[in-house]
Amino acid sequence: MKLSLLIPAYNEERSIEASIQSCLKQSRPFDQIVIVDDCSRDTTPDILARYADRVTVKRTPKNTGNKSSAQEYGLQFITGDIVMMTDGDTLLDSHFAEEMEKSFENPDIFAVAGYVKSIPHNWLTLCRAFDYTVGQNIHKLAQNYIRNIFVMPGAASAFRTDAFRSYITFDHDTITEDLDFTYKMHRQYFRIAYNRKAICYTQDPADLKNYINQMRRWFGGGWQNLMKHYSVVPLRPVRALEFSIMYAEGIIFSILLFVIPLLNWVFGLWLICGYLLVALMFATWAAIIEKRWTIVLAPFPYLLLMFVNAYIYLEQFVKEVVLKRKNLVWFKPDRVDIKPTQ
Amino acid sequence: MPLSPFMGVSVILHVLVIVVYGLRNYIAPQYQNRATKRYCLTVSYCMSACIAALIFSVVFISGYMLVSSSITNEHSSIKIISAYLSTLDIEHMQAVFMLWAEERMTNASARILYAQTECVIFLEHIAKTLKIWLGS
Repeated sequence: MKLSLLIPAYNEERSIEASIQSCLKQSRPFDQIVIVDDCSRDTTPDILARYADRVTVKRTPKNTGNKSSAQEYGLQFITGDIVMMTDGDTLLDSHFAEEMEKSFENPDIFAVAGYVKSIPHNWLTLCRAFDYTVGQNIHKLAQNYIRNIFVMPGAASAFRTDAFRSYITFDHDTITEDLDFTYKMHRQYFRIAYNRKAICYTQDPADLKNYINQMRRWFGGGWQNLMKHYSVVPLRPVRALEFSIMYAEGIIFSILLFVIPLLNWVFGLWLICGYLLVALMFATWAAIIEKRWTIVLAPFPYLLLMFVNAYIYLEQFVKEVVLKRKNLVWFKPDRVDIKPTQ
Repeated sequence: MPLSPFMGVSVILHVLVIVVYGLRNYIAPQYQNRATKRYCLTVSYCMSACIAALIFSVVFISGYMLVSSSITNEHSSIKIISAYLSTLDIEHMQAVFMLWAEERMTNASARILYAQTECVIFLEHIAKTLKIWLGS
Protein backbone atom coordinates (compact mmCIF):
# COMPACT_ATOMS: atom_id res chain seq x y z
CA MET A 1 0.00 0.00 0.00
CA LYS A 2 1.49 3.32 -1.07
CA LEU A 3 0.94 6.20 1.34
CA SER A 4 0.85 9.85 0.32
CA LEU A 5 0.61 12.89 2.54
CA LEU A 6 -0.90 16.17 1.43
CA ILE A 7 -0.18 19.41 3.33
CA PRO A 8 -1.59 22.75 2.23
CA ALA A 9 0.48 25.66 3.54
CA TYR A 10 0.05 29.41 3.53
CA ASN A 11 2.35 31.68 5.55
CA GLU A 12 3.41 28.84 7.84
CA GLU A 13 7.01 29.97 8.48
CA ARG A 14 6.59 29.57 12.24
CA SER A 15 5.57 25.94 12.15
CA ILE A 16 6.14 24.30 8.76
CA GLU A 17 9.69 23.12 9.46
CA ALA A 18 8.64 21.27 12.61
CA SER A 19 5.69 19.86 10.72
CA ILE A 20 7.87 18.54 7.86
CA GLN A 21 10.36 17.00 10.27
CA SER A 22 7.59 15.16 12.09
CA CYS A 23 6.40 13.81 8.73
CA LEU A 24 9.88 12.61 7.88
CA LYS A 25 10.40 10.84 11.22
CA GLN A 26 7.72 8.19 10.78
CA SER A 27 8.05 4.56 11.86
CA ARG A 28 6.47 3.73 8.50
CA PRO A 29 7.79 6.41 6.11
CA PHE A 30 5.41 8.09 3.70
CA ASP A 31 5.98 7.13 0.06
CA GLN A 32 5.14 10.64 -1.04
CA ILE A 33 4.80 13.96 0.75
CA VAL A 34 3.21 16.77 -1.24
CA ILE A 35 3.21 20.27 0.20
CA VAL A 36 1.12 22.86 -1.60
CA ASP A 37 2.41 26.37 -1.10
CA ASP A 38 -0.58 28.63 -1.59
CA CYS A 39 1.65 31.57 -2.69
CA SER A 40 2.91 32.34 0.80
CA ARG A 41 4.23 35.85 1.36
CA ASP A 42 6.59 34.98 4.21
CA THR A 43 9.67 32.72 4.27
CA THR A 44 7.65 29.49 3.85
CA PRO A 45 8.91 28.95 0.24
CA ASP A 46 12.55 29.25 1.44
CA ILE A 47 11.97 26.70 4.19
CA LEU A 48 10.23 24.34 1.75
CA ALA A 49 13.14 24.72 -0.70
CA ARG A 50 15.49 23.26 1.93
CA TYR A 51 13.43 20.05 1.94
CA ALA A 52 12.92 19.87 -1.81
CA ASP A 53 14.92 16.61 -2.02
CA ARG A 54 12.60 14.83 0.43
CA VAL A 55 9.21 16.36 -0.21
CA THR A 56 7.36 17.42 -3.35
CA VAL A 57 6.64 21.13 -3.23
CA LYS A 58 3.97 22.52 -5.52
CA ARG A 59 3.02 26.17 -5.70
CA THR A 60 -0.47 27.26 -6.76
CA PRO A 61 -0.55 29.65 -9.75
CA LYS A 62 -2.12 32.29 -7.51
CA ASN A 63 -3.28 32.47 -3.90
CA THR A 64 -6.50 30.48 -3.65
CA GLY A 65 -7.54 32.03 -0.35
CA ASN A 66 -8.70 28.85 1.35
CA LYS A 67 -7.47 25.46 2.41
CA SER A 68 -9.80 23.31 0.33
CA SER A 69 -8.68 24.96 -2.93
CA ALA A 70 -5.05 24.29 -2.07
CA GLN A 71 -5.96 20.67 -1.24
CA GLU A 72 -7.80 20.33 -4.54
CA TYR A 73 -4.76 21.66 -6.39
CA GLY A 74 -2.43 19.27 -4.56
CA LEU A 75 -4.63 16.19 -5.06
CA GLN A 76 -3.71 15.99 -8.77
CA PHE A 77 -0.09 15.23 -7.80
CA ILE A 78 -0.97 12.42 -5.37
CA THR A 79 0.16 8.98 -6.54
CA GLY A 80 -0.47 6.88 -3.41
CA ASP A 81 -3.30 4.41 -2.76
CA ILE A 82 -4.06 6.28 0.44
CA VAL A 83 -3.98 10.05 0.78
CA MET A 84 -3.55 11.48 4.25
CA MET A 85 -4.29 15.11 4.92
CA THR A 86 -2.90 17.33 7.61
CA ASP A 87 -2.10 21.02 8.17
CA GLY A 88 1.05 23.12 8.05
CA ASP A 89 0.79 23.83 11.77
CA THR A 90 0.40 20.20 12.78
CA LEU A 91 2.97 17.74 14.08
CA LEU A 92 2.46 14.05 13.41
CA ASP A 93 3.19 11.40 15.97
CA SER A 94 5.95 9.05 14.78
CA HIS A 95 3.45 6.17 14.44
CA PHE A 96 0.80 8.20 12.61
CA ALA A 97 1.35 6.72 9.13
CA GLU A 98 1.76 3.19 10.50
CA GLU A 99 -1.50 3.38 12.43
CA MET A 100 -3.40 4.84 9.51
CA GLU A 101 -2.12 2.07 7.24
CA LYS A 102 -3.28 -0.57 9.74
CA SER A 103 -6.80 0.85 9.68
CA PHE A 104 -6.95 0.53 5.90
CA GLU A 105 -6.18 -3.21 6.05
CA ASN A 106 -9.94 -3.64 6.29
CA PRO A 107 -11.10 -3.25 2.66
CA ASP A 108 -14.51 -1.92 3.78
CA ILE A 109 -12.93 1.19 5.26
CA PHE A 110 -13.06 4.22 2.98
CA ALA A 111 -11.67 6.85 5.33
CA VAL A 112 -9.99 7.05 8.72
CA ALA A 113 -10.21 9.84 11.26
CA GLY A 114 -7.17 10.31 13.49
CA TYR A 115 -6.81 11.64 17.01
CA VAL A 116 -5.98 15.33 17.45
CA LYS A 117 -4.19 16.75 20.48
CA SER A 118 -3.64 20.40 21.24
CA ILE A 119 -0.06 21.68 21.55
CA PRO A 120 0.21 23.25 25.05
CA HIS A 121 0.57 27.02 25.02
CA ASN A 122 -1.78 28.84 27.41
CA TRP A 123 -5.19 28.66 29.13
CA LEU A 124 -7.03 28.69 25.82
CA THR A 125 -5.17 25.70 24.47
CA LEU A 126 -5.70 24.01 27.83
CA CYS A 127 -9.46 24.43 27.40
CA ARG A 128 -9.17 23.18 23.85
CA ALA A 129 -7.23 20.13 25.05
CA PHE A 130 -10.06 19.40 27.47
CA ASP A 131 -12.59 19.84 24.67
CA TYR A 132 -10.65 17.53 22.34
CA THR A 133 -10.25 14.84 24.98
CA VAL A 134 -13.95 14.69 25.79
CA GLY A 135 -14.97 15.11 22.15
CA GLN A 136 -12.72 12.37 20.86
CA ASN A 137 -12.88 9.88 23.71
CA ILE A 138 -16.61 10.12 24.30
CA HIS A 139 -18.46 11.65 21.36
CA LYS A 140 -16.32 10.34 18.56
CA LEU A 141 -15.82 6.93 20.15
CA ALA A 142 -19.59 6.53 20.51
CA GLN A 143 -20.03 7.77 16.93
CA ASN A 144 -17.54 5.14 15.83
CA TYR A 145 -19.58 2.43 17.55
CA ILE A 146 -22.77 3.50 15.82
CA ARG A 147 -20.85 3.99 12.53
CA ASN A 148 -21.60 7.66 12.28
CA ILE A 149 -18.41 9.70 12.59
CA PHE A 150 -19.65 13.26 12.51
CA VAL A 151 -16.55 14.99 11.19
CA MET A 152 -13.18 13.99 9.79
CA PRO A 153 -10.62 16.22 11.50
CA GLY A 154 -8.87 18.41 8.95
CA ALA A 155 -5.56 17.88 10.74
CA ALA A 156 -5.69 14.07 10.77
CA SER A 157 -7.67 12.33 8.08
CA ALA A 158 -6.94 9.70 5.47
CA PHE A 159 -8.87 8.48 2.42
CA ARG A 160 -8.63 5.86 -0.32
CA THR A 161 -7.33 8.04 -3.15
CA ASP A 162 -9.30 6.54 -6.06
CA ALA A 163 -12.63 6.60 -4.26
CA PHE A 164 -11.92 10.10 -2.96
CA ARG A 165 -11.28 11.33 -6.49
CA SER A 166 -14.44 9.61 -7.74
CA TYR A 167 -16.92 10.62 -5.09
CA ILE A 168 -15.67 13.65 -3.20
CA THR A 169 -15.77 17.01 -4.89
CA PHE A 170 -14.34 20.29 -3.71
CA ASP A 171 -17.33 22.60 -3.89
CA HIS A 172 -15.82 25.57 -2.00
CA ASP A 173 -19.31 26.57 -0.91
CA THR A 174 -18.80 26.09 2.83
CA ILE A 175 -16.03 27.23 5.17
CA THR A 176 -15.47 23.82 6.77
CA GLU A 177 -14.36 21.53 3.99
CA ASP A 178 -13.66 18.59 6.34
CA LEU A 179 -17.31 18.51 7.41
CA ASP A 180 -18.41 18.79 3.78
CA PHE A 181 -16.27 15.73 2.90
CA THR A 182 -17.76 13.78 5.79
CA TYR A 183 -21.36 14.48 4.79
CA LYS A 184 -20.54 13.44 1.22
CA MET A 185 -19.13 10.14 2.50
CA HIS A 186 -22.27 9.56 4.58
CA ARG A 187 -24.38 10.16 1.48
CA GLN A 188 -22.52 7.31 -0.25
CA TYR A 189 -22.79 5.06 2.86
CA PHE A 190 -18.99 4.89 2.99
CA ARG A 191 -17.57 3.44 6.15
CA ILE A 192 -15.41 5.79 8.19
CA ALA A 193 -13.15 4.36 10.87
CA TYR A 194 -11.65 6.10 13.85
CA ASN A 195 -8.14 5.27 15.02
CA ARG A 196 -7.21 6.82 18.37
CA LYS A 197 -3.59 5.71 17.95
CA ALA A 198 -3.09 7.82 14.81
CA ILE A 199 -2.16 10.91 16.78
CA CYS A 200 -1.28 14.40 15.64
CA TYR A 201 -0.58 17.60 17.57
CA THR A 202 -2.18 20.75 16.29
CA GLN A 203 -1.78 24.40 17.10
CA ASP A 204 -4.91 26.03 18.47
CA PRO A 205 -5.66 29.77 18.73
CA ALA A 206 -3.52 31.40 21.38
CA ASP A 207 -5.68 34.45 22.08
CA LEU A 208 -9.37 35.16 22.49
CA LYS A 209 -9.72 37.07 19.22
CA ASN A 210 -8.37 34.16 17.18
CA TYR A 211 -10.39 31.72 19.25
CA ILE A 212 -13.62 33.61 18.54
CA ASN A 213 -12.85 33.79 14.83
CA GLN A 214 -12.11 30.09 14.68
CA MET A 215 -15.32 29.22 16.53
CA ARG A 216 -17.24 31.46 14.13
CA ARG A 217 -15.79 29.50 11.22
CA TRP A 218 -16.50 26.13 12.85
CA PHE A 219 -20.06 26.85 13.97
CA GLY A 220 -20.86 28.85 10.83
CA GLY A 221 -19.49 26.02 8.70
CA GLY A 222 -21.49 23.55 10.76
CA TRP A 223 -24.74 25.35 9.99
CA GLN A 224 -23.78 25.79 6.31
CA ASN A 225 -23.13 22.08 5.94
CA LEU A 226 -26.29 21.10 7.79
CA MET A 227 -28.34 23.21 5.38
CA LYS A 228 -26.44 21.84 2.40
CA HIS A 229 -26.64 18.17 3.41
CA TYR A 230 -29.77 18.00 5.61
CA SER A 231 -31.16 15.18 3.44
CA VAL A 232 -28.30 12.93 4.58
CA VAL A 233 -29.48 13.03 8.20
CA PRO A 234 -32.59 10.81 7.94
CA LEU A 235 -30.82 8.17 5.82
CA ARG A 236 -29.96 6.38 9.05
CA PRO A 237 -32.03 6.61 12.25
CA VAL A 238 -28.92 6.60 14.46
CA ARG A 239 -27.72 9.68 12.62
CA ALA A 240 -31.03 11.40 13.24
CA LEU A 241 -30.65 10.52 16.92
CA GLU A 242 -27.11 11.89 17.06
CA PHE A 243 -27.93 15.12 15.22
CA SER A 244 -31.15 15.72 17.15
CA ILE A 245 -29.40 15.42 20.49
CA MET A 246 -26.50 17.64 19.47
CA TYR A 247 -28.49 20.38 17.75
CA ALA A 248 -31.39 20.41 20.23
CA GLU A 249 -28.90 20.65 23.07
CA GLY A 250 -26.88 23.31 21.25
CA ILE A 251 -29.83 25.60 20.53
CA ILE A 252 -31.86 25.20 23.72
CA PHE A 253 -29.00 25.27 26.20
CA SER A 254 -27.33 28.21 24.45
CA ILE A 255 -30.51 30.23 24.98
CA LEU A 256 -31.04 28.97 28.53
CA LEU A 257 -27.48 29.80 29.48
CA PHE A 258 -28.26 33.51 29.04
CA VAL A 259 -31.94 33.52 29.97
CA ILE A 260 -31.91 31.53 33.23
CA PRO A 261 -29.44 33.75 35.17
CA LEU A 262 -31.49 36.79 34.07
CA LEU A 263 -34.79 35.29 35.16
CA ASN A 264 -33.57 33.73 38.38
CA TRP A 265 -30.10 34.34 39.75
CA VAL A 266 -30.31 31.40 42.16
CA PHE A 267 -31.18 28.97 39.35
CA GLY A 268 -28.40 30.49 37.26
CA LEU A 269 -25.92 29.97 40.06
CA TRP A 270 -27.03 26.35 40.54
CA LEU A 271 -26.78 25.75 36.80
CA ILE A 272 -23.23 27.08 36.66
CA CYS A 273 -22.12 25.27 39.85
CA GLY A 274 -23.64 22.00 38.63
CA TYR A 275 -21.95 22.39 35.27
CA LEU A 276 -18.63 23.15 36.95
CA LEU A 277 -18.91 20.05 39.13
CA VAL A 278 -19.62 17.77 36.15
CA ALA A 279 -16.87 19.46 34.10
CA LEU A 280 -14.38 18.96 36.96
CA MET A 281 -15.23 15.28 37.02
CA PHE A 282 -14.65 14.94 33.28
CA ALA A 283 -11.50 17.10 33.50
CA THR A 284 -9.99 14.78 36.11
CA TRP A 285 -10.70 11.83 33.87
CA ALA A 286 -9.29 13.73 30.84
CA ALA A 287 -6.12 14.64 32.77
CA ILE A 288 -5.56 10.99 33.66
CA ILE A 289 -5.96 9.64 30.15
CA GLU A 290 -3.97 12.46 28.54
CA LYS A 291 -1.35 12.42 31.33
CA ARG A 292 -1.58 16.21 31.35
CA TRP A 293 -2.45 17.23 34.88
CA THR A 294 -3.14 20.90 34.18
CA ILE A 295 -6.34 19.82 32.39
CA VAL A 296 -7.89 19.48 35.87
CA LEU A 297 -7.93 23.29 36.00
CA ALA A 298 -9.50 23.68 32.55
CA PRO A 299 -13.19 23.79 33.71
CA PHE A 300 -12.67 27.17 35.42
CA PRO A 301 -11.68 29.14 32.30
CA TYR A 302 -13.94 26.82 30.31
CA LEU A 303 -16.91 28.41 32.07
CA LEU A 304 -16.10 31.70 30.36
CA LEU A 305 -15.62 29.98 27.01
CA MET A 306 -18.97 28.25 27.46
CA PHE A 307 -20.69 31.64 27.32
CA VAL A 308 -18.52 32.69 24.36
CA ASN A 309 -19.30 29.42 22.53
CA ALA A 310 -23.03 29.71 23.23
CA TYR A 311 -23.12 33.28 21.95
CA ILE A 312 -21.20 32.42 18.76
CA TYR A 313 -23.37 29.34 18.20
CA LEU A 314 -26.56 31.42 18.31
CA GLU A 315 -24.98 34.25 16.32
CA GLN A 316 -23.97 31.89 13.53
CA PHE A 317 -27.40 30.23 13.61
CA VAL A 318 -29.02 33.62 13.03
CA LYS A 319 -26.52 34.63 10.33
CA GLU A 320 -26.38 31.38 8.40
CA VAL A 321 -29.83 29.86 8.90
CA VAL A 322 -32.20 32.74 9.59
CA LEU A 323 -30.65 35.57 7.58
CA LYS A 324 -28.91 33.23 5.10
CA ARG A 325 -25.82 35.43 4.97
CA LYS A 326 -23.41 32.84 3.74
CA ASN A 327 -19.92 33.66 4.91
CA LEU A 328 -17.24 32.03 2.76
CA VAL A 329 -14.28 34.08 3.93
CA TRP A 330 -11.57 31.75 5.15
CA PHE A 331 -10.06 32.53 8.53
CA LYS A 332 -6.52 31.51 9.40
CA PRO A 333 -5.52 31.94 13.07
CA ASP A 334 -2.25 33.68 13.94
CA ARG A 335 0.49 31.13 14.51
CA VAL A 336 2.97 30.83 17.33
CA ASP A 337 6.42 29.29 16.98
CA ILE A 338 6.74 25.53 17.04
CA LYS A 339 10.25 24.24 17.53
CA PRO A 340 11.29 21.41 15.20
CA THR A 341 12.25 19.32 18.25
CA GLN A 342 8.85 19.72 19.94
CA MET B 1 -14.54 20.69 15.47
CA PRO B 2 -17.30 20.59 18.05
CA LEU B 3 -20.90 20.10 16.99
CA SER B 4 -22.44 21.54 20.13
CA PRO B 5 -21.10 24.39 22.28
CA PHE B 6 -21.61 22.29 25.41
CA MET B 7 -20.51 19.21 27.19
CA GLY B 8 -23.99 18.58 28.46
CA VAL B 9 -26.66 15.95 27.98
CA SER B 10 -24.98 14.73 24.79
CA VAL B 11 -21.90 13.64 26.75
CA ILE B 12 -24.01 11.51 29.09
CA LEU B 13 -25.90 9.93 26.20
CA HIS B 14 -22.67 9.19 24.34
CA VAL B 15 -21.22 7.57 27.46
CA LEU B 16 -24.33 5.40 27.55
CA VAL B 17 -23.75 4.40 23.91
CA ILE B 18 -20.14 3.49 24.69
CA VAL B 19 -21.21 1.35 27.65
CA VAL B 20 -23.96 -0.45 25.72
CA TYR B 21 -21.89 -1.05 22.58
CA GLY B 22 -18.78 -1.85 24.60
CA LEU B 23 -20.66 -4.52 26.51
CA ARG B 24 -22.20 -5.89 23.34
CA ASN B 25 -18.83 -6.05 21.60
CA TYR B 26 -17.41 -7.80 24.68
CA ILE B 27 -20.22 -10.34 24.86
CA ALA B 28 -20.62 -10.87 21.11
CA PRO B 29 -17.45 -9.74 19.30
CA GLN B 30 -18.77 -10.95 15.93
CA TYR B 31 -20.96 -7.82 15.78
CA GLN B 32 -17.95 -5.55 15.58
CA ASN B 33 -17.27 -6.15 11.90
CA ARG B 34 -20.82 -6.53 10.72
CA ALA B 35 -21.98 -4.56 7.70
CA THR B 36 -23.90 -1.39 8.50
CA LYS B 37 -27.60 -2.19 8.63
CA ARG B 38 -29.59 -0.31 6.00
CA TYR B 39 -33.34 0.12 6.29
CA CYS B 40 -35.48 0.93 3.29
CA LEU B 41 -35.74 4.68 2.78
CA THR B 42 -39.35 5.02 3.94
CA VAL B 43 -38.71 3.17 7.19
CA SER B 44 -35.53 5.11 7.72
CA TYR B 45 -37.24 8.48 7.15
CA CYS B 46 -40.16 7.60 9.44
CA MET B 47 -37.90 6.37 12.23
CA SER B 48 -35.65 9.44 11.88
CA ALA B 49 -38.62 11.80 12.00
CA CYS B 50 -40.00 10.10 15.13
CA ILE B 51 -36.61 10.16 16.85
CA ALA B 52 -36.01 13.83 15.98
CA ALA B 53 -39.53 14.80 17.12
CA LEU B 54 -39.07 12.91 20.40
CA ILE B 55 -35.64 14.37 21.17
CA PHE B 56 -36.62 17.94 20.30
CA SER B 57 -39.88 17.63 22.28
CA VAL B 58 -38.07 16.35 25.38
CA VAL B 59 -35.40 19.07 25.19
CA PHE B 60 -37.94 21.84 24.46
CA ILE B 61 -40.27 20.74 27.27
CA SER B 62 -37.33 20.51 29.71
CA GLY B 63 -36.24 24.00 28.70
CA TYR B 64 -39.78 25.36 29.06
CA MET B 65 -40.17 23.79 32.50
CA LEU B 66 -36.87 25.26 33.61
CA VAL B 67 -37.89 28.74 32.41
CA SER B 68 -41.32 28.46 34.07
CA SER B 69 -39.77 27.37 37.36
CA SER B 70 -37.27 30.22 37.15
CA ILE B 71 -40.11 32.71 36.82
CA THR B 72 -42.41 31.31 39.49
CA ASN B 73 -39.66 30.53 42.03
CA GLU B 74 -39.27 32.87 45.03
CA HIS B 75 -35.97 34.19 43.65
CA SER B 76 -37.52 35.07 40.30
CA SER B 77 -36.22 38.36 38.93
CA ILE B 78 -39.77 39.27 37.85
CA LYS B 79 -41.07 38.80 41.39
CA ILE B 80 -38.20 40.87 42.75
CA ILE B 81 -38.91 43.65 40.23
CA SER B 82 -42.65 43.50 40.99
CA ALA B 83 -41.97 43.73 44.71
CA TYR B 84 -39.73 46.74 44.11
CA LEU B 85 -42.29 48.40 41.88
CA SER B 86 -45.01 47.99 44.51
CA THR B 87 -42.90 50.01 46.94
CA LEU B 88 -42.78 52.97 44.57
CA ASP B 89 -45.38 55.70 44.65
CA ILE B 90 -46.04 55.94 40.92
CA GLU B 91 -49.03 58.26 41.32
CA HIS B 92 -46.90 60.75 43.18
CA MET B 93 -44.21 60.58 40.54
CA GLN B 94 -46.77 61.10 37.80
CA ALA B 95 -48.17 64.07 39.69
CA VAL B 96 -44.71 65.60 39.89
CA PHE B 97 -44.34 65.09 36.19
CA MET B 98 -47.65 66.78 35.48
CA LEU B 99 -46.58 69.69 37.61
CA TRP B 100 -43.38 69.91 35.63
CA ALA B 101 -45.28 69.78 32.35
CA GLU B 102 -47.68 72.47 33.45
CA GLU B 103 -45.05 74.80 34.74
CA ARG B 104 -42.72 73.94 31.86
CA MET B 105 -39.96 73.23 34.26
CA THR B 106 -36.65 72.85 32.54
CA ASN B 107 -34.37 71.93 35.39
CA ALA B 108 -32.45 68.64 35.11
CA SER B 109 -33.85 66.95 38.22
CA ALA B 110 -37.40 67.13 36.90
CA ARG B 111 -36.34 65.64 33.59
CA ILE B 112 -34.60 62.76 35.40
CA LEU B 113 -37.70 62.16 37.51
CA TYR B 114 -39.78 62.08 34.35
CA ALA B 115 -37.49 59.52 32.74
CA GLN B 116 -37.56 57.38 35.89
CA THR B 117 -41.35 57.46 35.96
CA GLU B 118 -41.56 56.36 32.37
CA CYS B 119 -39.10 53.50 32.98
CA VAL B 120 -41.00 52.29 36.02
CA ILE B 121 -44.32 52.31 34.17
CA PHE B 122 -42.72 50.41 31.31
CA LEU B 123 -41.17 47.78 33.62
CA GLU B 124 -44.43 47.33 35.46
CA HIS B 125 -46.19 46.79 32.15
CA ILE B 126 -43.64 44.11 31.14
CA ALA B 127 -43.94 42.36 34.49
CA LYS B 128 -47.75 42.30 34.24
CA THR B 129 -47.63 41.01 30.66
CA LEU B 130 -45.20 38.23 31.59
CA LYS B 131 -47.35 37.24 34.55
CA ILE B 132 -50.44 37.03 32.35
CA TRP B 133 -48.52 35.14 29.70
CA LEU B 134 -47.22 32.57 32.14
CA GLY B 135 -50.49 32.38 33.99
CA SER B 136 -48.88 32.92 37.38
